[in-house]
Amino acid sequence: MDNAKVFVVTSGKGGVGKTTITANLGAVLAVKGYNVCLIDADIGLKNLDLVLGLENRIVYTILDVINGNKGVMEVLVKHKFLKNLNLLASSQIANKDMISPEDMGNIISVLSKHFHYIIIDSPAGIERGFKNAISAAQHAIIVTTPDLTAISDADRVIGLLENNGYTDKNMSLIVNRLKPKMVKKKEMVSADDIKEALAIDILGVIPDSEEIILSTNEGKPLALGDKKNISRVFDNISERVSGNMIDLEEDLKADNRDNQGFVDFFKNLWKRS
Amino acid sequence: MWPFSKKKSSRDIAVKRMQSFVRSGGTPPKASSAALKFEDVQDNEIDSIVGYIKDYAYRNLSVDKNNVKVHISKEGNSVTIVASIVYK
Repeated sequence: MDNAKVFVVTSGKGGVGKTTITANLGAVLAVKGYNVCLIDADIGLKNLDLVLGLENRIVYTILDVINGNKGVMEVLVKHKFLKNLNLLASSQIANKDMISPEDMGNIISVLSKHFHYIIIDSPAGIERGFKNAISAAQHAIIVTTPDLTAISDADRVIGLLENNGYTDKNMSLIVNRLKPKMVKKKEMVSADDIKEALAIDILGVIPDSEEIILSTNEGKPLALGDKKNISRVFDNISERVSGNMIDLEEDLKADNRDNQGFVDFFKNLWKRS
Repeated sequence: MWPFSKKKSSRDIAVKRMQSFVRSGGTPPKASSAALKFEDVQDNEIDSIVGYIKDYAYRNLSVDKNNVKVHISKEGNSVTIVASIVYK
């Protein structure tokens, strides 16, 4: 393959949804038939296996590759339902200093021969783990929520990415957990406000949704469920990642709670009880 | 105070605050920003760069030099310089 697209999903601030976005973007690309490898670069605080429902299948981790105990391709874990979705798991007992940007570069160069897409889930913060994660990627996806704290950290991360050779051509933004109702009532900054402030292009806007919490609870990426609501947003993002232009307005259509009718409201109530 | 005056929207306040702390300050072009990478830098050269940054902030941004914090981190041959300017 050798012309793999390598993405890093980063944010600066923790808890904004990097891991969930990595898992779901990877899953939707795999559903479309691409060979995808996800790398959990959050050494010591791994989560990606949990979101993918693979926590009981991890035998070897990235540390076994670094230590030379195993080859990269030997340690990958295939997803239960999507056999072309692979995970290079992180180690719970290791720490970020055990891995260097050079190690990450070597791993990516091997994986590039086998996969169409490689997506690296960066840890929060801007320390060694962040540097490892961004060192070998071609494109950075910065995730923020509409909170000022997350936006401030995203801005700082963009500055650091620029210092590491990234430009506005290979950085893009995902605004996560947007509440369209609040934006409409002018109680929350909009995706456009954030785009203007951070001055980078938006790759996707993910409305706040219970579906994501439910899918994480089950360890089942949204792409494996019904093709509706939030899973459509990831579908749109995957199209944009593949170079197809999809209007950003399409993402907000996924939040159909604003438009639900009287009968739908009661149907949803019935479902929850 | 008239109790029914229109309250400023929360979004407007957030946008104003956001624009005050982001680097681009709400103005589009990031094209003017330059990424500088220094390699094989001597310690005395770092000192002069720090001095230059503080002088620049003092002259162009009317900021006291004590309010310009310059953080240096070295990794291998390369040096990263982060300057924070504190406005009061």
